[in-house]
Amino acid sequence: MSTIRILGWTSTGFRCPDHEVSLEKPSKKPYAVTLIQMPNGTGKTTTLELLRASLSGRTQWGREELLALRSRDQPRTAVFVTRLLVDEKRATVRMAVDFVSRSVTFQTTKGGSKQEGFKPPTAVARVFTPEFTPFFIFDGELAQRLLDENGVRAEQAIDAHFQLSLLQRLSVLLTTYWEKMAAGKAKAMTGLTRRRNRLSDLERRRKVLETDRAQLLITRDSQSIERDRLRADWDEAFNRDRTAREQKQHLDQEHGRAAQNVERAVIATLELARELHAVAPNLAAEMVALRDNLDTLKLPEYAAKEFFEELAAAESCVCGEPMTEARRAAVIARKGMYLGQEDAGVINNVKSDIKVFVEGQPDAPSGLRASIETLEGSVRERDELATELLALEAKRLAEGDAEIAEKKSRFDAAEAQLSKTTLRIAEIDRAASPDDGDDSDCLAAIIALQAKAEADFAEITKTRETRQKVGELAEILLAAVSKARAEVREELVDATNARLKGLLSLTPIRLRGIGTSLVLDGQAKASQGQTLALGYAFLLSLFENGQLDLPFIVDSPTGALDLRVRREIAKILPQISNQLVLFTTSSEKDQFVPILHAAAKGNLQYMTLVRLSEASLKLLPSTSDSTRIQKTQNGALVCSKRFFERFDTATLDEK
Amino acid sequence: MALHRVVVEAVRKACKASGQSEAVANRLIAWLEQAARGSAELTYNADQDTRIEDLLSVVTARSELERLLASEGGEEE
Repeated sequence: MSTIRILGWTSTGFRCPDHEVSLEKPSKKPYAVTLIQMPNGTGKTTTLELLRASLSGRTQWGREELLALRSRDQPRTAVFVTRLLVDEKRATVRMAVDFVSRSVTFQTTKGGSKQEGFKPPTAVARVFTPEFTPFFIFDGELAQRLLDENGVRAEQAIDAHFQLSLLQRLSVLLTTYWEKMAAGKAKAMTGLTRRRNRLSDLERRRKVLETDRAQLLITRDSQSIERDRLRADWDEAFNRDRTAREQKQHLDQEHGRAAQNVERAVIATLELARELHAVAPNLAAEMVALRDNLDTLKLPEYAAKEFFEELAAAESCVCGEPMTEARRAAVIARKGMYLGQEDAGVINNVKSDIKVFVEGQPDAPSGLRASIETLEGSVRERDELATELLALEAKRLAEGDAEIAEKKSRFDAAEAQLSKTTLRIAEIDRAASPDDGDDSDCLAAIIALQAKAEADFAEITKTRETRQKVGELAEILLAAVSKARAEVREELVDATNARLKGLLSLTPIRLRGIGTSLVLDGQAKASQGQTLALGYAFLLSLFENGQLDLPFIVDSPTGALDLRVRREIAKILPQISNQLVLFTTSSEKDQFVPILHAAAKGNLQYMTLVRLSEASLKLLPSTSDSTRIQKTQNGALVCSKRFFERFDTATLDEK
Repeated sequence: MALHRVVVEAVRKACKASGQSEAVANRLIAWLEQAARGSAELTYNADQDTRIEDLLSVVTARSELERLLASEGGEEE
């Protein structure tokens, strides 16, 4: 449980007399009870208002509302400083009002560091709000408003005090996370079915292609065997003619040799074609020119880095301007951005390579040309031999042997089938292209498309799942708020009724429930005294059940209570809070203060704050003890039980 | 300042009623507890993504049927 104590406050420039109140004992612990007597017109209401404002960071004020706080001396500014102890750590809130610009600003000091603005310690932030401060800086009006449906929101106070707002804030946080995550994915959220179907189609297509491929490989093997068998048949029939056989063997050998020549020529030509200067003679000339230019510029020997060093030492810059110290420093600082040793090494290698490979091989272009010519000759020879073979076969067929013709025909058909199968396998096995669609025959393309579709589907599924999960949590938190609120209210109603029974035994009232405000059982309103008693009973229950040990500051604690109820209230008030600060008038002392004194077991201090006037000066005790009497330019604060008890407004009025 | 017992109980009950595991309740309560003590922020920032994802990893996204059955069970309760 967090403990909050008010150690005191200082007020300067406001309607109440300037004063400094300390609620601390010499031991630095705050008094359990402080009674502050302020005659009517001394600014009691103003002081309470300032305490509420300074503990809620209120900056929004109406013009008249703000001017009503101003001292009669019409100062431009006023300051109210509240000193706090939160969980044994000191904090200060300074509220400054500028009546001319009508602005209210705050400064907070915590742990020795000063911050602009109202920055209360985290432990109290949820109750140091405009909505909650009236519950612990309390007056009779709040008691009335507790019963008003449009008045103080008991619901908000309960939510804040019992931390129900934490659940709501966590829910908002999770929703914000979801919104950030889903930002830009609205489109992706639609078409889940379409994406799922596409993924299934691609999966199916992949399986079809894999099955086809496996089948085609088997088919190709058997077609290849069949083709070879038919080839052998055809060869056997062809070779029955000896002359034709010998011619064919010769042509086959020659064709094989020519094909090997083509292969060798291709390799040699490609090797030569790798030298760019051999492919493009102009490029060779340009590369030589580049090397010559580098020599002319003395690069890299005279590297730019060194150039800038020399330039920095010169009297004037290359642009003609004098070389000032600033320019010199800039040139030195930036010289490293230009050519250095590593760059020079690269340039030297380039120059050397141009010399060896370009200038050293002036015949490279003609060598490539010769190689291409050789390749062309080899291809021509191979093709001519192939044509001769075909012509020989045609001649053999033309001799009219039906068996040969049939075998040739069957061989050709088998060759065509094998070729078709091989092409189909090649199409399945080829590399993917960007043009491939979902109906492609290329297995690699379908696999890539499937992977992308799977990623798309996974992302959309994850996004949707996250939305569902965030929704689940939001429902849980909402249900928890509802459950907790109902339970807290029930406990508060029972506890409040139990207290009311003791307080108002002669004129009983009962609380039926808590909605946005308190709801009485069987009656809409109650007397002023009953309402004040209800307020105390409710707040006592509220504070007893919460997690904060708050101070309780009350304006006119007995109000319209009759004497019997006053006595009861005096007994129970010290139970509401471990720190009570009660603002009273002299008329409230009867049947209250002595009983309160006893209930507080003497752990209380008495203060009387009066506005300085001729009349009040005559009443002040004649002492120079500053611990007993503190005077400011317009007020006096007397810390004395005797003075408190004897002080009578009527006497002051007479004087 | 610790989280109020009423809040702790309400979160546990709500988690149970929605068919979520105890791990969900434990993570929620730990987070709320830290927020109540002032050692965790409850305003969204990107640094909290890991914590949120950890929380979501133990949440079960129920089907419509499961939600319906859970709500009927809750009513009976």
